[in-house]
Amino acid sequence: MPTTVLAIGLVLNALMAGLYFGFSTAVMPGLGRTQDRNYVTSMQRIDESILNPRFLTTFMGALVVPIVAVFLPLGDDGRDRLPWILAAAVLYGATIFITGAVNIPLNKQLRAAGDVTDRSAPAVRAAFHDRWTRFNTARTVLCSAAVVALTVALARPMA
Amino acid sequence: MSVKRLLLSAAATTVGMTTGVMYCYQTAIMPGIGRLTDREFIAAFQAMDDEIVNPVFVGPVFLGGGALLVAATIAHRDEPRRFRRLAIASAVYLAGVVAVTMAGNVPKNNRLADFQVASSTIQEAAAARREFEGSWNRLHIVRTLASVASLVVLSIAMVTNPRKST
Repeated sequence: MPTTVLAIGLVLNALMAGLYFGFSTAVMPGLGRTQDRNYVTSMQRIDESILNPRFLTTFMGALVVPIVAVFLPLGDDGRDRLPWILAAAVLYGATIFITGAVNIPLNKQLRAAGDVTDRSAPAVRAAFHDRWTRFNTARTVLCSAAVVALTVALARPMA
Repeated sequence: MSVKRLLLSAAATTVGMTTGVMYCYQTAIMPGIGRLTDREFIAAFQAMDDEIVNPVFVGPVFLGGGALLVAATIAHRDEPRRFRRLAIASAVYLAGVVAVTMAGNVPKNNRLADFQVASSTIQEAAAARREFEGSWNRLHIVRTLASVASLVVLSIAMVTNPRKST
C-alpha cells in the first residue's frame, strides 16, 4: 500500500534524524570532554563501525523511499500530502549534500591520521572537531525538519 | 491543523527522534567504542552518558514521546480503530523504551559513572567493563526494537481511515 511506503520513509528519516541528533547531543559534547588521544581513537572507531551495508541502506533509503511514495497513488489526500513529501526529500537531500561535502572528507582525514600519539592527537582533533560538529548540527536541524514534514504528510486528514 | 493531527505529528516526531537516538547507539556508538581498550571504553561512555542526560533530550524528546503518545491516544477515544493502535504504540513505548531505560540502562549507567577510571588498575577496568557492556547492549537492543515497533504502530495509526469504526 502506498501509505505503507510513506510510513517506511518516515521511519527511515526518523532513524537518520535521531542518529545526527545523538551525535549532536551526546557524542560530540561527550567525547569533546575526553583527552585528545581518546577523542581521536573513539571517533575513528565510530567512523569505522558506521560504514556497513545496513547503515548505508538506511542512509540512502531515507531519500529514496519518500521519493518513491511520490509516484504511487496516494488516494484522495494525495495532492495534500505531496508538497510535504517533496519538502522532506529536499531537506534530507541537503543533509546528504552536507555529508558528502564536509563530514565525509573530515572522516577521511581522521582515518588517514592512523594511530595517534599524545603528541600528534591535539592537531588531529583540532582539525576535525569544530567543523564536523557545526555541520552535523546543520544536518540534525534539516533532518528533524524532514521528519516533521513527513509526519504532516502521513497524518491522514480528518473525516 | 486539528488538535488530533497536531498530537499525532508531535508524537511521531518525538518518538521518531528517540528511535533514532537508540539507533545511533546501536549502529555507531556501541560498536565503535566497543573496539576501544577497557579504560578508553569506560571514559568514552561515561562522558557521553553525562552529556545525554540533558533537558532537551530527556524531557521533550524521550519522555515527551511517551506523553504525546498517551495524549494522542486519549484524543482519539472516539475512533475505535485508531484508539486501539495508539494504545498499543503507547504501551510498547512506555514499557519497552521508558521502563527498560529507567529500570535497566540508567542504573547501569549510574554504576559505571561511579567508577574512577583514571585511578583504576587494568584488571579493575576490565572487570567494570565486563560487568557493564554485554548486559547494557542486550537491554539496548530490546529498547531499540521497542522504539521502532512503537513508531511503526503509530505510523499505521496515522494512516488508519477514521471513517471506519471497527
